[in-house]
Amino acid sequence: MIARLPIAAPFAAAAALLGALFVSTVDLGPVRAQDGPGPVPAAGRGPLDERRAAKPPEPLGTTGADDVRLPLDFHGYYSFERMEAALRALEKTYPKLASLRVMGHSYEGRPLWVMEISNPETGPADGKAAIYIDGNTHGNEVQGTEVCLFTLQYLLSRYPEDPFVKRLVDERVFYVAPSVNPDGRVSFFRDPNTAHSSRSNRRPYDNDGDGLVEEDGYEDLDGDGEVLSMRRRNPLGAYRTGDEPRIMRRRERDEAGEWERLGSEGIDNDGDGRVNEDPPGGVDLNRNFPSNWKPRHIQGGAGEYPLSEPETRATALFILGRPNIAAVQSYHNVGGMILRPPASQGDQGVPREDIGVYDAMGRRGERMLPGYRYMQTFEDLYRVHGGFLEWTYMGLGIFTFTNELWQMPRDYDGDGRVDEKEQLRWNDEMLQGRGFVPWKPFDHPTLGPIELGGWRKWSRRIPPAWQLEDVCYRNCMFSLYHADAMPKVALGEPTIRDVPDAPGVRRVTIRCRNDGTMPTTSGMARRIQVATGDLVRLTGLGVRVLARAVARPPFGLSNEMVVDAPRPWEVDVGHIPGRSEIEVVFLVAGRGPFRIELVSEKGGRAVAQGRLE
Amino acid sequence: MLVASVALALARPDRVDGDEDTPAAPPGAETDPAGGAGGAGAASFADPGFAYRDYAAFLEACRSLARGDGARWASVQSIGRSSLGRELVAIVVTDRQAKPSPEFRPAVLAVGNLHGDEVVGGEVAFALARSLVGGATSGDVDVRRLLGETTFYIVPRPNPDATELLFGRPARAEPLVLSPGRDDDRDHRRDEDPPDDLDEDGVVLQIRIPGDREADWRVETDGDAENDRRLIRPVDRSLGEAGEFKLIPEGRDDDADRRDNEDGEWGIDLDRSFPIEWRPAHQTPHAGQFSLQAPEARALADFVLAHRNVAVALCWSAVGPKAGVQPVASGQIKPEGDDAKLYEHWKKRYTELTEGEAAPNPFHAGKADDEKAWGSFQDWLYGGLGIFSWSIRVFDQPPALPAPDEGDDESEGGEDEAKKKKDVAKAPIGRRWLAWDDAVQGGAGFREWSAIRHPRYEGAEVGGWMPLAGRNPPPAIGEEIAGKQIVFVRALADSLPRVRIAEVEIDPLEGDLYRVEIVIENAGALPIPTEMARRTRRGLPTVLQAAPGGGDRIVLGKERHVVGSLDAGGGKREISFIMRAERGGKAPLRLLLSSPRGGVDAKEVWVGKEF
Repeated sequence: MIARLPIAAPFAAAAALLGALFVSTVDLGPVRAQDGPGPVPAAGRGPLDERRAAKPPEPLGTTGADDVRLPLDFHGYYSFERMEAALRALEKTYPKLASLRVMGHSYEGRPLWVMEISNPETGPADGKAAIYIDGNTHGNEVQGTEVCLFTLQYLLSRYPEDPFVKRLVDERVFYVAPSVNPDGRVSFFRDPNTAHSSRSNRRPYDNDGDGLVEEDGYEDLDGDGEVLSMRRRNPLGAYRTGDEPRIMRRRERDEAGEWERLGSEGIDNDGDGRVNEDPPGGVDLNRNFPSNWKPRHIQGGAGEYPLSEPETRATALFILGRPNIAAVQSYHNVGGMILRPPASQGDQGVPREDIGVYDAMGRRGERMLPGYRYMQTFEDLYRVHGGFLEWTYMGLGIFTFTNELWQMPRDYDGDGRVDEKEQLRWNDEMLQGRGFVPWKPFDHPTLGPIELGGWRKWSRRIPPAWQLEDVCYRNCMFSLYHADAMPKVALGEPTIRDVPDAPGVRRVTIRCRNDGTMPTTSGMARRIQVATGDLVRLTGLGVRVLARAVARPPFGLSNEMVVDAPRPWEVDVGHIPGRSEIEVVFLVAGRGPFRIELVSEKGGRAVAQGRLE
Repeated sequence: MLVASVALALARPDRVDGDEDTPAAPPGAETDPAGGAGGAGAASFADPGFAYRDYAAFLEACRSLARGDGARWASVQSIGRSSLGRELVAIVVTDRQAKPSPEFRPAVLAVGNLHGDEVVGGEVAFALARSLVGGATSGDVDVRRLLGETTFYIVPRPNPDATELLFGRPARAEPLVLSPGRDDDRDHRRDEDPPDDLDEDGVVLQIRIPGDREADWRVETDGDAENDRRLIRPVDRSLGEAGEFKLIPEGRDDDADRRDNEDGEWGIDLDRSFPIEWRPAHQTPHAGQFSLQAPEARALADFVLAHRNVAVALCWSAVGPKAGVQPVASGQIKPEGDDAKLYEHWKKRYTELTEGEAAPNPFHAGKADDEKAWGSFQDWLYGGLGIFSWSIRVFDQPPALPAPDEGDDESEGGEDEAKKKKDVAKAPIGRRWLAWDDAVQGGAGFREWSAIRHPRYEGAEVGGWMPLAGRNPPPAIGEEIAGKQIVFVRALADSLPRVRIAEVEIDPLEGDLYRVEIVIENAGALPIPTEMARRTRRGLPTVLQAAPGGGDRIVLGKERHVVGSLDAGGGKREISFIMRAERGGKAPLRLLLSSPRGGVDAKEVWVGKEF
């Protein structure tokens, strides 16, 4: 079902094949396109093992334990395997509420796990509003996974004693997918990477357009487990040592240079004069979703077409298959942001009622997450085509937030930004310098004497272990608040009155309430015609419905009354706004018990009973 | 199995399609190409001819190409499965015995029948396969040479579920991909109100209801009250026109929601499904929830992406309001610079080669945003992949009516007759179709409006264009239509980009050192790559690899050279390096030139030999 097309066909394979084809005329011998110049063995396309660090670096302050026991601790980061063990342990311990499923498989074949939390005793999952929460879309943005695990444990371990948790789990459904880019996570933990690499999935891609794929990745040359920066002394270089000696500054045009920057740690495997310009992976999963998707020459990392990747496709089909999903939360890093859609444009065409909901929730989020800013992605951050939050809101009409977890403290001089100097100071004072490797001499295999130094991969985007639990707790609280804001329909007691001068005909009035902050269908869902209206049905064996009408309190009936409706017992009431109610009036004849049902795609279900005497 | 001519389909609407089959072979597996190849190795190719076939007959016709001596030239592949599980088929036509192997030859992609009811488009694509295999098996040297250096990927029936409805009972014209299980009218019920064959005459047509409250159609007489009154059109309210009829598909209101036939098993428009300039369903009807949502669309896209040698693509369709060739459909993607010139040139060639087929006319011309073809297959091929692509309507203009007898022309009656003919030629297209149908098909393409008992509407009339014959020409003129297209495709195939190592010059420098200069060129008449491919960074690199043998090596310069674009008609690039070679030439310098859309070339030279 999942296509595994070699989207950028490796030229080397083609050439090798060609060589075989031409065997009668020209024998090309072994194709040497992949070999780098000089004596250094090619690393770019070797088996993964060759590129592994001598020892994978420890996350800062991780517990490093291999065994996973409940309660899960959040003093360190979960490798993909430990994450799987944690999910299994949770499911095993809380089998009544938790069920672990696979949404699909990653490019390299790892399962995309999703845990469902719901209480079957309070009704089937598809009859309740659901929130979908995921993390780690970008392989290097690891802490979203821990926030997800924390949330799962919080809900499962506090049920049923905690009344808030009990209410949520009884009334709602949680779908939590802790790592939707497992290959990226595995590679980030295992392979030489910077803090910013291993972001995409592992679909090979010809980043530099030379017909070869993945032929020039990073190398951990000195075997310290880190991909640092390279520099060498050069009076013609563009940099000089700054006032913070670990930071270089650009020299003035009339100044002598001191340093030449040589890029990230590695060699120019393909001999094209550029270093590490075609590392593994190629599709940015957060640029591969359908709404306002643009091809690669406009939006980097977009992939061949929307949902071309097994990871995005599985996620999308999972959500499309569950129309009761009313809220989506995605955890990324970094910078301390609560992002809302759209991401490809400003707010034109976004219904004001939806912006009102977003603003209220965003403001609450800013209080819950000190230092986080609530932002409209496009206007306050940057333009993203084919982003996940764009699709779930602009394409499906689901209220969606993306949180950018954590930012490196701290703005010592109060100028409103945290510059590298301040980051270094914080690194020195709070991490005892563990986040930054001071410049050190190194004998580069092709460049000769250089220096290596810079930020470690676990340092700049990922909180140190002692801050992780705080990040998890606060964002979990935000997710639960988000879940609590979902629409929730309820019915009042039906009132029955006689109709003057119409013997045997009664008027049954029922109040239909939405207790959630969100409307039962978002303004966007209605605008793009993907909303399914709420249905109110009156049925009873001895009861005949003659007509029905919808009323919006406090004043009278709407003009939607259809006297000779072909299905008078059922009415599509459209949507019920957040924290408000409407009335439905049925004209009925007959006698006996009746049942009124309110069915909302994203707001759950409600039932009321009555009796005609 | 059924091979239906139009006349047959109309004459015997009571036939039963007994072969609602879904082949068992898994997707990706090669469909048994030979059928009976085991014993029929020497069987000669039998042309299955131009016909409108149901799915089983279509599969059999595809397989027949690859049987016997056709097996060298054609193979049938599965490229996926339709929504209802039918195998989607591609025919690969090329010389399977030649080298290099087919995926290293420049290729032509030919597709038709994206809309299920426009079966003539697929038949034209299939006719291309028939003509190539027929030519090759009968020993036509030109065809054999062409197939030795070119690959044709032909997808004649990309939407088989919908096409099959033309041959079902009741027969129905369905352009969209079928995708059961959708709640089209968002009433919490799925597929509950499809069209029905109310009068059980074997075809689903249209129903018009005179005098209905919601009447918004009227008889179209094209300004002449004398004209016959079969044609109808929507009213123009802005002109104060009153409606005479309400128009609905034939059927009843199954779910009693006062909407007629609004939720059937249809779903997605294949030709509005592709990811470049795609617009969602609320902006483009039937675009689906995301691009390539239908399995048919994704299979086709993946097939194209997997064949990076495709340099030219054609897609044939049938009916439409405007004639001609469409360089682009949405109007958002424009051929510019050299591409614009290239399209202009080939539009002229199209008219020449097809002996006067309708002038080129981009689909989007003069259309409002919400009427344009967003997300078309062709826009994706050109605007997304930079492939020189064409979308051609082969049957949207009625063919010329038989000319009046010249002798009669002199008489008075003849003048009247001639004037009538001339009037018809100038008439709006619907009326011309009607006249043509009356004259040539004996009215088989249009069902006269006639009274029908309808559960909801009194005085309802059923009628209109027939599902198959109303949209597709009779098979009798099919070969002629296809023949013109094949001439055009052959001209394009002869112009495909082709890389060559044109010259290798070796100059001794000093000692064992030589300067090697290589001239490569594009010997084809199409560029490497198109300007759009360059703009979208789809101009996959042309690469020259130089592999010195023995102890020889390159001392200055590179072994692997990434070459930029190569203009059409002999565009050249020079590549040079300095190498050390043993005097007397112990081992050759091997050169391999490779361009994904321009083929490959290889040469070996003995650098030290002559000195």
